[in-house]
Amino acid sequence: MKSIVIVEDETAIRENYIDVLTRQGYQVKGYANRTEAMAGFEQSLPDLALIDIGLEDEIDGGFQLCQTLRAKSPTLPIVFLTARDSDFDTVCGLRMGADDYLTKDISLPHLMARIAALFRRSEAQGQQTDDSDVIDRGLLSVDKGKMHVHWDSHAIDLTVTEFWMLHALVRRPGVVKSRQALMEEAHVVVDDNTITSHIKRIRKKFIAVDSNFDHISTVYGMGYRWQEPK
Amino acid sequence: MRNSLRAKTLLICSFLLLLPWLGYRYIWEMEKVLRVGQERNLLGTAQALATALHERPTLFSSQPQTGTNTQRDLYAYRLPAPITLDGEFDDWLGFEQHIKTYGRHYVQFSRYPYRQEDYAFRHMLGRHGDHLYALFDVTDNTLITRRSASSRLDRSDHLVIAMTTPEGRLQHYAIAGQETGPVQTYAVDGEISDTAALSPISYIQGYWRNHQHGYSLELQLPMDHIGDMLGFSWSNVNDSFNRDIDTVIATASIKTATSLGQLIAPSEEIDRILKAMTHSQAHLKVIDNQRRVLAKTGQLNPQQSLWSNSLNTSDNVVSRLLAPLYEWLFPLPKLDTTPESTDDAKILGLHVTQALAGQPYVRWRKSEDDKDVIILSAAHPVYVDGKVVGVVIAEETNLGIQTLKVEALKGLFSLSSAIILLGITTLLLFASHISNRIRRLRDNTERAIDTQGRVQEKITIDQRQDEIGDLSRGLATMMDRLDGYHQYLEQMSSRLAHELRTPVAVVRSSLENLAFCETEPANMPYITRAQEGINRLNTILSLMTEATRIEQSLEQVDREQYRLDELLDGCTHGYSLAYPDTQFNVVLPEQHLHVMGSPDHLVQCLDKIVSNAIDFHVANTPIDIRLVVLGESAVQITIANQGPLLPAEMEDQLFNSMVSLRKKGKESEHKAKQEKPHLGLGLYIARLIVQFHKGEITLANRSDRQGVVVTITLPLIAA
Repeated sequence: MKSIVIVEDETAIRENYIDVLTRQGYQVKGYANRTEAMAGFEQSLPDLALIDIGLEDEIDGGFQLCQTLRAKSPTLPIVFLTARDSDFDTVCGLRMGADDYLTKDISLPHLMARIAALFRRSEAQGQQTDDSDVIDRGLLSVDKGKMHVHWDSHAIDLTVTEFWMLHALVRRPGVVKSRQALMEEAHVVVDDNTITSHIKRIRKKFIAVDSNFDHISTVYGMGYRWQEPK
Repeated sequence: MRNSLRAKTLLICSFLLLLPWLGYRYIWEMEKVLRVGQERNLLGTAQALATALHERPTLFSSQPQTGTNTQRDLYAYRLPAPITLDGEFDDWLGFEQHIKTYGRHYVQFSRYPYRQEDYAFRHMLGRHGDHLYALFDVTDNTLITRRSASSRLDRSDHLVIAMTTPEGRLQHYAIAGQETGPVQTYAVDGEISDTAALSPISYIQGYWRNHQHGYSLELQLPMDHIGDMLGFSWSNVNDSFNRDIDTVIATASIKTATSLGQLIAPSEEIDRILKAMTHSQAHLKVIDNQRRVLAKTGQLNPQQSLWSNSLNTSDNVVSRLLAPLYEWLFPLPKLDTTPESTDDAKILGLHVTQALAGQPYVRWRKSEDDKDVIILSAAHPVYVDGKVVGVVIAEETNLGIQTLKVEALKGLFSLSSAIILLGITTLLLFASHISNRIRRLRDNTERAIDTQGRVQEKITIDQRQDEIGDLSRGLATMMDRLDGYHQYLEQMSSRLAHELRTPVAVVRSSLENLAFCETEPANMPYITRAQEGINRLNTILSLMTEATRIEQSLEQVDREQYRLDELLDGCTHGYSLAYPDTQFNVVLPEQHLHVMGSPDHLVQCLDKIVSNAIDFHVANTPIDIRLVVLGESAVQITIANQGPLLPAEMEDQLFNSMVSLRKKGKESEHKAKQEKPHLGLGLYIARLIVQFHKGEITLANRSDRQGVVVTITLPLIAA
């Protein structure tokens, strides 16, 4: 049974999440602040951590917690679940090694899907590849089952949101995906501008391994599409 | 002219002009005081002299007190030098005005009707030292001289001198007509016709000179032989055969001592006393109670005035330059001649009358030469035994005061001009300085806030520690607070969204938990509806933070150069696909137009505007999208739709956050439910993006009043 820790200072939300995740068959522990959470982590590490950024009187307590956890385990999936949705916080959180950054307006089914996906990815890391879920587009290969992306055999480390967006583009190359459509694919409710910055981040991650990468193109007024390499 | 500070200051400055007026008033008052002082002073001088003369009966007793018939009296003028006895008038120059003509009114006897043209004489008396001098100028066309054989004097033209001796006895002398030359005087002791009564004397000398219309005679008489009374009688004989006297003209009847006229001669004694006063500045006269001048000294000469001497008139370049102006502005009265035309034999005037009545009196009178010069006369009575026997008159002009006044006026003029000039200049400079500072502050304040009420730039703080400095500091503080408040308002939506997110999450997770647990199917629709509501609320919260997000991302984004025509082309294709029901009229130029900025954001901006245009456009009308090049450096995108007009006053405000013209009710009627809620942030975000591109965005009604047009002006860069 997978164990999940929720660090959330808002009791109602914490209890709701614990209830729903318990119902899904996870073993769930909830902590209200960083001190309690640290004490808990000292005893045992969970399989996944769901962390709020603002914890009681510590406005950046979640970030510290994330750093400590990442130091303890480089592979432990960490998800920020927070009310803070500024670009700055998102970038910060992801840089600290979180695997996903979700805002609290996400619905519970979406949250559970994310958690399931993350578990799937961490499980897949040690196992043999199941070819059935792999999409190959030239140099690109996207493994939906493991949520792995490779470009010219370089692993591209995407967050879950970014992965679903890329997946949506790659699945039907040449077809323009509107921002709304991308939002739905990634199961997030954000504004257009957030989509734009996600796309930018995805591009940057590809360009980091291949400076000539230009396969995600903007179609002005409509959205984005995956351009097949010529 | 606007009521600027400067004009007001000038007005206030004009009060400075009161200064010279005040000064003039002051000088005027001073002049009054000085006049009173001069009156006192002069009366004091008169009194001092009178004091010296009081109770000295001898000085006045020699003058008969009884006489009232001044016609007979003879006045001896003080002569500056002894007369040369030659029958010429040149010694008497300067006294011509005192020569009195004896004619019709002085005729004692006339055998025929008297004609003044035929016979009259002019006469005056003078005194020098111990001698009395008499001048006669007789008009007579027939000179009948004494026959050389005859010893009678009365059978020719002759003069009879009648006088009282110092002892009071009546004494006659006679001089007969003769040819030019020294005369022989005879004392007449009895009848003149009695030759035995005639005895030649030598103490009365004279000179006879004949001239074309008559003859003249100069006489020298010793004062010690003459008493108080004196008279001259000229007899005219026209017929050299019978030698009868035809006409007798006399200064007085010479028959008795009392019928003679009084001899009034300036008193030597008084003169000596008066001499002691010559160093006074005043013109002094002593007159007797018959108003006859007994003695006088001094002159009404302003040049020797103590007043003008006491003034140290500065002599420098400025005063020399100003001198002509001053002379024109403040003319000093000219008084060249001594204004002394009154007859010494008779001093008239109220002051004398008053003094004779025992009342010291001062009067001012205008000079006949110059009306600006006023002569001050002070009269003081002289008492002997409680009776007024004479009057001391002191006279002075006000020229000294005038000089003082003019000098004071000059000083006042110079000083007040300087003060006024300096004052006005200083005040004007000060006012200009103040108004410049205020104007700067005003301009600064006007620039500080744009038409949308956003703080554009800080107010430059005036560091000076005065009210304007305080004002600028106050305004700067106000601007800071306004800026803070504005930022607070603009961040309000994102803060609110942030704050709402947690409770929304509580409700949402609770609802979803409920949905999982709920077994009663009848409750499901309510849960579903609540979840829908929560979803919409979520969308609203996302939108609320969008503007802030855009601002943040614009801060981080790098500007890049991109082709605007290409971008717009792509966008319009996209719009045609996205809104298949709407027709777009697109006009794009051929050339490549490069702009600097963020293409992604500009697309967002265009999306918002086009979406707005579509929301408001009338169905089946096209949306016009144009790209127009404005000269070399700017490009304009216009997006126009047909539809409802903007309310006039809203045009600028629509770019502010949370301002929307959409009608909630109408929207929910026929637009799809799942469409995004509107928060009035679209145009606000569009403006943020256009400002990031250093451009301008305006929203206006179309010139044909058919709808609304959005105009975006962006700066072009050279490709």
